[in-house]
Amino acid sequence: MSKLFKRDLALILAIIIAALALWGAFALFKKDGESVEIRLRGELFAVLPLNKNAELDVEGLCTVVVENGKAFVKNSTCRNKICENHRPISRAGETIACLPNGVTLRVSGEGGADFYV
Amino acid sequence: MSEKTRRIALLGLLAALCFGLSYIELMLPALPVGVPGIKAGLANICVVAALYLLGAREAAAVNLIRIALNWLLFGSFSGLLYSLAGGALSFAAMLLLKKSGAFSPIGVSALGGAAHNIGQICVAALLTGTPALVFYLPALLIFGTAAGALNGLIFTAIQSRLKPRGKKP
Repeated sequence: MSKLFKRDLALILAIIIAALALWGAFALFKKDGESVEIRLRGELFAVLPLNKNAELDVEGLCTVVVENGKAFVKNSTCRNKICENHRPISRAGETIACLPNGVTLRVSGEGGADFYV
Repeated sequence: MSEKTRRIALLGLLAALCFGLSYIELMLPALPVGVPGIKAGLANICVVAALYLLGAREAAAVNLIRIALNWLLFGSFSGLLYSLAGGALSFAAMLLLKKSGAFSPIGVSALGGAAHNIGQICVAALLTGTPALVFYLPALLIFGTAAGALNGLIFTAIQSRLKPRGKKP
């Protein structure tokens, strides 16, 4: 029984490792997005293409920066600065959310598990 | 009670229990993780039980009865295709693993859970024409394997208590 159990455990670990490897492979092949959607309290505020450097002030709450195909947030008026510290996003489906100010950024485009059945 | 009667009665019991567990599972809330298709797969406990207590043919019968009843009572035609693909692949994987003799019901059931998710995602990708659905597979595999292992553990715990007292297993 204990010998079987060890094999069971090995099998379960093998499946989980395979799943994680698959996950990694999918993440590598995830396509870069085309543009970033900026929403303010749920309403679409602006759409910036990722292939053009730009800076956009979101009603004085923060500044969205697009630089070298990646988008990030700076000068946020919120307290915790999670949005500013988030790494720049570029791949389809990636998001940055500033919950205190109700500002969200989301990269649009094909690819990624970012739709629902 | 003759052996044949005992087996027929047990098969009927397991099929009924299987259906009952499917119904209970329908009432469980979905996990809020944004990935569809994550289920506990409780009904598979009965398929595993039939496989170990009765045999391959009986386990296939329990599985088919479960799928048919679920389809007739709660399902749609596409739901039937999902269950058939998941059920068939899961059953084949469990049968092979049990025949190898190298694993306990826990490992057998864990692989069954994983295979079920693979079958379903393949049919879903084909039916909806969205191959990108495979992006769900890693998460589904992890949950499916964990749920399968847990079901195998439940069966092992029940089986050890079903053995007549005084007899060594």
